[in-house]
Amino acid sequence: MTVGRKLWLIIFIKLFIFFIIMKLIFFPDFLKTKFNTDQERSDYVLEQLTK
Amino acid sequence: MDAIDFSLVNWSRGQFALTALYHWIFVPLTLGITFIIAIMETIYVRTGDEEWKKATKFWMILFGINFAIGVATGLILEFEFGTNWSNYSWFVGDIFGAPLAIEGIMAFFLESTFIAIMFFGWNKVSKKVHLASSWLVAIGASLSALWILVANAWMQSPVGMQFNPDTARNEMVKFWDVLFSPVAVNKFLHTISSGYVLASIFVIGVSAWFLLQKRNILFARRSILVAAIFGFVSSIQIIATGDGSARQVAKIQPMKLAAMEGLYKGYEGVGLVAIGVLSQPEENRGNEGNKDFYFRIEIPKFLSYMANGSWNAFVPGIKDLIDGNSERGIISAAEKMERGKYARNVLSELKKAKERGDMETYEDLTLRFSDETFINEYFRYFGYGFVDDPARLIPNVPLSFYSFHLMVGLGFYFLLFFILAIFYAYKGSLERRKWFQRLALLTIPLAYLATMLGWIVAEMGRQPWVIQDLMPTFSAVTRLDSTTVQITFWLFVIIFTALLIAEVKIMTKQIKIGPKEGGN
Repeated sequence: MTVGRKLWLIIFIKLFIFFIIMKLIFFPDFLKTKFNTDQERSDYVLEQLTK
Repeated sequence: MDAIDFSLVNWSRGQFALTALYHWIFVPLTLGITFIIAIMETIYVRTGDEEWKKATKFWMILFGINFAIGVATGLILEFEFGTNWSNYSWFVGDIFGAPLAIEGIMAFFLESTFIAIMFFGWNKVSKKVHLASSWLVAIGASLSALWILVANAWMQSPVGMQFNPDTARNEMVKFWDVLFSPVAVNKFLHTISSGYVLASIFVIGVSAWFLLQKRNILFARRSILVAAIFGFVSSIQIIATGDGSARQVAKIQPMKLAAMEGLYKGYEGVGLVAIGVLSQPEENRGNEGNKDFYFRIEIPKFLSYMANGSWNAFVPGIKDLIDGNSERGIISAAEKMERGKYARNVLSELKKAKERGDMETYEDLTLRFSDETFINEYFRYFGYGFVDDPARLIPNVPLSFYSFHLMVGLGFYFLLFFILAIFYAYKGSLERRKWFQRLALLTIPLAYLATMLGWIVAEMGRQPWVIQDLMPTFSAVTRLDSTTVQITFWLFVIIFTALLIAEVKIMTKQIKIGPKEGGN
């Protein structure tokens, strides 16, 4: 395999692991998935900052 | 405040540090080697000498390997912001979002577009267009670094924003203050220069290997000469911007400076520790801040000069910053904690007033967050309101001290190394200096070490703050199960180590193949 093909393969495997496995399974956006509106997100963070 | 799960905080910090440091393995080489390639290609276009084209293409392949394996590793950090650091991500508001968006749209696309021409455009576009593409890749790479470093500088020195108590977010009010804050300017120049130095050492080290192998001699000599001159100029820039950074740290993060120098009690005309070994004296305050020295060699009064531009200036130590020093106008940590708690309390009362529909109180309290006196006297210490023990305000002194001194020592060694390389190249004696060739090879890992130490000083030295004085790390973290963070930590260890092994293996193989005749 040429070095160019090897690098493209690494790039695609890496992007698959990062965006499909890591992002979807392990790294959901906490505030986006837990709350529907910015108001709810603000209220949650305010609660965290003041309690 | 709920009890803080420090296991979660530590694992979250460890995970971020791991991914950031692994990401940084790839970045500095890209930053610097692109300029070295552009310089070599410029010489090729001007002289028409095919040997320069050969050198350009060889280093371009190594850059391509590094770029392909390193690209997108930084995106993991953005994932972590949203998952592990949600309070922080929300609190920073558009301050972080805007620079990162600009990076994505402008610099990344600039870099990517011209990389395609750089790699696939030989013999398809004119020599001048290809050369322009190579320069734009180099400039684009450094511009990419600009925006993330601006965001990082804001965390060290938050300026140009106003806190909106209704949304719990900081809003950017002065973009240019954020972009051109002295901390941002120094950080950008210092960091990219470190990348230039690392890449120069990489090129010299790999070229020295060719000399040791007694092959591709002309290519190796020319590569060393270009890289040594580029590295020398970059080293001077590192020293100049390092000096500027010291002044900024003294002004904005005096605790970090005290930790970097192991300065427990401040005085006038403080010397800079050139070499020293820290000890733990008997008068123990029960924290890492109380350090003294088994032995040290100082440059008299130099720290005072570096920090304040005056040989006899007072530089506060850790004790002054914790206990306060009324004579010097330094307020105590306890006082700052009180002011921070007051600011938090105002925010809490504002929230309660809104919940019970008391709009008069709500509007009155909202106005306080745009009142200069409240901002300067209380809100600027908002983060201290989360701190229950002044000892938490002291960063890890041994780590900061040794990382800083080793980094500076290596920086001066690199300067000497470049001078030697230029001298031997000028004398035409590089091939005979076997010891220098071996030294050049050994210097490659030292360049990586120095640049990692720089980040450790910058990020560990500013603890406990994720945003200086406004948000401590432990209040920025998302309340997750620490087991989840541990799992992803080890997953990253595996993935990034695999990437690193791939980088080293592919690059080593390509180096052994060497430059091809005619540059093809």
